[in-house]
Order: sequence, then structure tokens, then C-alpha cells
Amino acid sequence: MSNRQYIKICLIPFAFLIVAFEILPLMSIVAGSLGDGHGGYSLIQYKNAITSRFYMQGIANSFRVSIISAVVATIISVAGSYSIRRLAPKIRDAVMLISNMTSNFSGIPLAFAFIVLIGNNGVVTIIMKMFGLNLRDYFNLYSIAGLTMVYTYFLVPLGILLMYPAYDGIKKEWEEAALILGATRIEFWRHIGIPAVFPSIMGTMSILFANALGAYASAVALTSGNINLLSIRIGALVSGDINLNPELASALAVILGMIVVFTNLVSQSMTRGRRRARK
Amino acid sequence: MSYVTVEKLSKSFKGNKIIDNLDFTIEKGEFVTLLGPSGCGKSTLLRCIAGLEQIDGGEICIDGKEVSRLGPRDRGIGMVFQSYALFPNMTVRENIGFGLKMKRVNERERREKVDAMMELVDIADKAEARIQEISGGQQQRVALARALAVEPKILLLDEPLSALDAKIRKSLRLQLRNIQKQLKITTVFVTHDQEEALTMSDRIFVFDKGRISQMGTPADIYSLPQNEFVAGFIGNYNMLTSDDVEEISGARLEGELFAIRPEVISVYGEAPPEKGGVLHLRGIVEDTVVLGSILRCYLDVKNRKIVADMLNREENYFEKGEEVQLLISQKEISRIR
Amino acid sequence: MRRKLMHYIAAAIILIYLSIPLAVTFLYSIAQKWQSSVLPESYTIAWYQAVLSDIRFWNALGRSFFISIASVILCLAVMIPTVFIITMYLKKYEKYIEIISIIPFSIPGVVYAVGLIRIYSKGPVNIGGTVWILLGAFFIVVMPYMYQAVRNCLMTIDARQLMEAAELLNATKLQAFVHVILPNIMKGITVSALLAFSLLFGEFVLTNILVGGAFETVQIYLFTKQNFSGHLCSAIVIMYFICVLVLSLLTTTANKLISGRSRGGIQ
Repeated sequence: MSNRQYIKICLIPFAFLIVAFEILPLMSIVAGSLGDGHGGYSLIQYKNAITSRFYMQGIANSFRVSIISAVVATIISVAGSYSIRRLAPKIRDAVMLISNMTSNFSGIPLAFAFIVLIGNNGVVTIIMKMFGLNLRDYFNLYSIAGLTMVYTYFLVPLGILLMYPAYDGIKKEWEEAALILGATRIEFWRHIGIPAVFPSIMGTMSILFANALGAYASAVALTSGNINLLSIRIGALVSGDINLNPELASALAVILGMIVVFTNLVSQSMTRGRRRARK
Repeated sequence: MSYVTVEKLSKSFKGNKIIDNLDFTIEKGEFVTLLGPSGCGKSTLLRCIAGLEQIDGGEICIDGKEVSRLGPRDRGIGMVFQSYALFPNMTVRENIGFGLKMKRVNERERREKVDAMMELVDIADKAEARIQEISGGQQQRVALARALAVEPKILLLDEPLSALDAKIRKSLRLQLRNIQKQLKITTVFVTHDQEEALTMSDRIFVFDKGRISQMGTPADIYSLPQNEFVAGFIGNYNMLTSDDVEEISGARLEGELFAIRPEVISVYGEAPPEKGGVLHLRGIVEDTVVLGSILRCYLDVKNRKIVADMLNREENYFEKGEEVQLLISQKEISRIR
Repeated sequence: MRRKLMHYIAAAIILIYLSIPLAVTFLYSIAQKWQSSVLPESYTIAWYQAVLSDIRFWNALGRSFFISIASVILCLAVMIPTVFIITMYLKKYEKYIEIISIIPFSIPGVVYAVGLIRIYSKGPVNIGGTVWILLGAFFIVVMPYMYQAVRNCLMTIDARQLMEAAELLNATKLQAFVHVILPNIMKGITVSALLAFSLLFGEFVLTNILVGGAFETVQIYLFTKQNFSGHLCSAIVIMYFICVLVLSLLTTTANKLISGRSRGGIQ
């Protein structure tokens, strides 16, 4: 059937690009991680990575920052996106436009803006000094906490974008029926609303987590590599002048990828219980 | 003391008056239908009674209590939505028990009440099913059970049967009415389907553009329309002015506008039997349509279009173009104006 | 009514939260001196003058635009037919393409860059450090977004029914696709295309690791200037934002015009 063949031909560009730029690099990373530096195969890179307290701490730090910022950003997005949906159409579109615009505000410019705001000579720091308070006593931008705050910031627009269509699935009549049956608004959300969007919430959180874990530019700009993060370590091993070690980088990359996949599976299994209901 | 009293109710949307100064009462245990075409405000009225819409003016009293300032939770109503609005993450049992759960009824009592409800609507065999797994008719019954489980003061139904196919609709109509009679619960039912309104109700309120055009029993509404709108909306009335009547029958009637039901017109091929108090007309058959048990005959009487309904019997079949004679008893002619 | 107010307040809080860093950056870009006071000590537009007169900036801007637009167009050109074909005729492959589209989300930029460099920096296909590797990488980066967008769009317009109707009216599959499906998709994917564009426009990680200075985009330019002056950087950032904003507004207005015209005709 030439129709079939014709169709398969149309898929060739896609197949080519996917193989060249997704499959091969993926395989290459895995292959690289199994190299021992002399052309043979071994798990020595993984051993190096896992036994190094330095790298393990990097992984732990990355995990901590990403999970906290992802959870906080998800909560903000869930509430924020719902509120935005309830605005008048013109205002709503304007707010979404601004939100989408600020989703571009990541990496170096963002880090810099935060430095201006709450860095050592930041605006907020100075204001607090006027009241006799030292911001540094409570909060240090150039630390894990500071990084978490910056991450949360740039995850929110993405979260709002992802959660926005999820609320299409909640019918207004559910809320009305629940109210008539005696539920308060909060009870409605607890028993019906949140369960209905739960899969989307989990999905959004996974994506935000993956995003945070891989964030590189903001971290570099803020800390000049002084903080031990997995993504920075990988970057340093690949393009650094001192410790060029692409094999180790590959191993760490695979570990990072596996953390993401694992988190994805966890969130999917949490949704599966609910998913049975959606059938 | 009426159970439900509505006084001077008004509601507007974006400058359009949807409900215009409405007054009516409903007795305890009565089954009232709000009947009217799409967009006439009947669903809005229901939602105002339920507390899902804020009213712009007037008062609503349920069981002696003025409720227009209360939220839907506190009015003591039960409601069945057009799309049922069953909660998708819960089973049939959980759905029905939801209202009781919100009222903090303890688990044993809740279970008893839910079981009783499921028996009432005959859905006990599907107690643990998810709502996506049951049919439309079954979902409707679950929605009804859920609304009744909390023993509301009044039951509101917003076109609950419109999403079902004809056969199920007919059987559910009966079930619904029987349950209502059994529980003696005051019910307000919204529909645009005349047959539903006529078969189920104690009283019908016919709605036109936010006002009640006529209130009455099904018999009154059907046979004694009081204005042009009702006559045009209910049944298939032939509308004739007094000049029309004089021209086609020679009789001069008192009044300006008359409505004649198709089933009161008798059509004969040859000379009809002599009777007093009837109008005698001559016309030509344009078409005959079989509607099932009814034959609908489209006639031309001196250039006026008349529709006559007869039982589907051999003697009532006429040919196109055939000249026929019609008898209409004067008692059956409704005067509109 | 009180609840409506709550939503407006929530949205306002979020807006303020999102705008503060931008506002601060803007202030910094027009400040001559702002060391230790709440507001700048003096104002100037000198920074903007410096940026706008730097030819390197304009070149970088051009490169950013070029690579972002080219990648988005490539992605659209490949994904629209592909997703269409898979959802219409090869449904059994749908789950594979879903997995393929999720993978880029699971691979952080740094990791991906490592893999790409390993293959394409040496050996037979040495495109490392060139525009081509960036183009391919960017394609993969935005592919998940385009996949979702096209898929949602096809579902919304009920592509299957439209195709059937067109074919009954004597169109070939190709004609039906070009005249019926394509125009309807165009409208729906504008937002996603815009999102993809802004995403790539602001991309730094891959650009830095894969091509670095060899193909200086606005982000790389920004990075190099980071140690010189914060004021200059702020001005660059604001310029860059204005560009994205202008493009967004242009595209949305163009979209409204197109759909407005077609609505008059066909409806």
C-alpha cells in the first residue's frame, strides 16, 4: 500500500532528529559512564561517585533544594493558577502574559536581580538596616536557603502554566452540588476538588522537580560554583580546565537522570490509586 | 400557610431582566413544574431558590423562614442537576452518603440511611460501583438518592431527564413521581417537555420571558389556555380571530381571538351527523401524517390552515385534495381574548 | 462577591511577587550609582547607550533570534505532520512518542550537553561548536511542548471528523491536511510556539557548553559582561525582555487578526 509507505516516509525527519539528538546522546551518556578511562568497561565511575563524600553531598544538596522549591512552587501554583482562572477574561489574559514573560527570567539575570534585592547591599537589606535589623542574621542569599528561594521563584510561572488547564476538569456543578449537600468550600476542595486535580498536581510537581534538579545557570551565577550542587559538578567535569573527566560526569549524569525517573515513578504510583477512578 | 412563598422576585444578568417581579406559592407535598421554552428564566429561578444565584430583589420563604440571605448549605434543599454532577472520585454509596458525611452523621446511621435510599431508587446492587461504570439512567437515580438522603425540605430538579433516551425517560418519570408521592416531599421540577409537565405535575407554571404566563393544573393548562403564549406553547392549537371564524363558518362568536385544539375537530368525508352547538366548515385535505396512534390532518379551509388530530382508524384516512367537512363543538373553543 | 475579591488579591500578590525582580533590574539599569541606599542615588541612561552602541550586542541579539526562531520553525515543521500522522493513522505508536516526548524533561541541560559532546565533538560527525548541534539540541528541548500543543489542538478540533468530512467532499488526504487541518492548528499552537521561542531565547546552559563563544547569543554575551558591571547587565536584560515582549504582542495580535478574518468568512 503506497499510502502506508508514503506515511512512513513523512515520519523520517522526526525519526532522524530523535535518533540523532535524543537516543544517541542518551546512549552515549550511559556508555560513557561505564568507561574506565582506558577503553574498557567497568562500573568504576559509579563507584568513584558513590564513595566520594564530596559528590554525595552534592547530590544531597541538589535533592534538598529541588524538592523544597518544587513543593513550595507547586503549592503557590495550585492556588495561584486557580485564582487567576477566576478573574475577568481581559485581566486574566494580561496576568497570564506577565506570568509567561517572567518564566524567561531565570539564570544569570535572575540571580543578579536577587543579589540586588537581598544580597549584601541589597534593597531589602538596606531597608532592614534602617530599622536596625541585620538581614544576614536571618537569611543568607548565598547559601542553600537562598538558592531554594531563587529556584522557587522561577518555578512558579512554569507551575502556573502547567496547572492552568488542569482546572478545566473540575465542573462547576460539583461544587454547587457539594454546597447544597452541606459542604463548606474547604470541604469541597478536600473531598472532591483536590482529588480531581491530584494527578495534575503530581505531574506538575515532578516536572518542577526535574527542572530544579537540572538548573545550572542560576546556581552558577549566584554562587560562582561555591555551593556543591550536582549540576554544577557535572558542568565542571565537562568544561572545567582543571578536572576534565567526562566519564565521571556521565556517571553523575546517569545518577541524576535516575533520581528524576525514580521521582516520576513515585508520583505516578501515588496517582495510580486515583487514576482507577478516572477510568 | 404555604410551604414555599416567593414574593416580588427579580433577577437580572448584565442589564437583562431574567426574572421579573415574580409572585407564587407552593403547598407542602406539592409537585410543581416550571415549564417554558429555552431561555425563559425557569432554570435561573430554580437556582435562585437554591441559593446558587443572588437575587436582585424580593423574598423567598421556605417553611416560614426567609432564606434569600442564606447560602445553599443552610436552606434545607436538595437538588438534582441536569448533568447529575456526581462526584467522580467516589462510589455510588459514597456519593449518596456525602451529604450525611458533611452533616457529621455517625457511620452506622449513615450506612442505614444510604441503604434505605438505595432501596428506594432501586440501585442497591450497584452500591460499590464507580459512577463511571453505571448507565445514564442509573446515574440519575444516584443523583436523586444523594439529594434525598439528607431529608431536605424541598427537592429541586433541573431538567433531570433531558439527557436520557425516550424509553428510560418515560419509566423514570413514573418512578420519580412515585417516590415523590411516597415521601410527600415538596418538589419543583424544571422542564421544557410538555408531556413530562402534564403527566407528572400537581400544578404547572408556564414561563414566558421571566414571568409566569399561566398557573394551573395540567388539565387547566392544556384545555383552558388564558393567553396567546400558552395557547401557542402547549399542544398544537389552531389560532383564529373572530373574523376568521365568521368567514369560514358563518358564526359570529364573542371575542377577538380563539384557540381550537386539533383533537376536538371531527373530519368527515360525506355529510356529518347533525348536532347542535357545532360549527360546520368545509375544507380540502392538504396532507395526512401518521404520528403513531394519532393521524394529523393538515387542512385548508378558505385559505386558512387548520390542523385536526384523529385516532388512527381506517375511516379517518383521507386523500390529498379530498373535500371534507369539519365539525367543531362550540364548547371546546377556548376564547383567548 | 467577597470571594471574587480574594482571587483578585491572590493574583495581585503573585503579580507583585513575579514583577519585583524585574522592577529591581530595571531600576538598576537606569541607575548611575546605587551602592547602599534603598533607591538609586542618581539616574542615567548611559548604560542603555553603552549597550545599544555595542555592535556585539546587536550581533548576539540577531543570533539569539535566528537560532530560536529557526528551532521553533523546524520543530513545528516536523512535529505537526508527525503528530498528525501518528494520532490519525498509527495509533499504536502513540505511547512510544509519548515516552520520547517525556525524556527531555527528565534530562537536565548539563547532562544532555555531556551526551551530545561525547558523540559530536570528535569522530565522523564533528559538528560540535557549530550552529548545527545547537539547532538539533534546541529541537529536542522544545519538542515536548510542541508535541503536547499539537496533540491538544488536534483533539480540540476533532481532526478525525474534519478529515472525514473533507475526504467525502473529494479532497485527497494531502489536500484535506493542507486546507482544513493546518489552518486550524496554526491558531491553536501560537501560544505554545511563543512559549517555546521565549524558552530558547533565554537558554544558557546548552549554549554555553555546546558552542560557548563560537556562537555568541544574548545570554552568552550577558555572561561575559557579568564581571564588568551590574548596571550594564541590567540594561542588557531589560533590552532582552523588551524584545521578547514585543514579539509576544506581535504574534498575539497577528493571531487575533487572522482568526478575526477567517471568522467573518467561514462562519
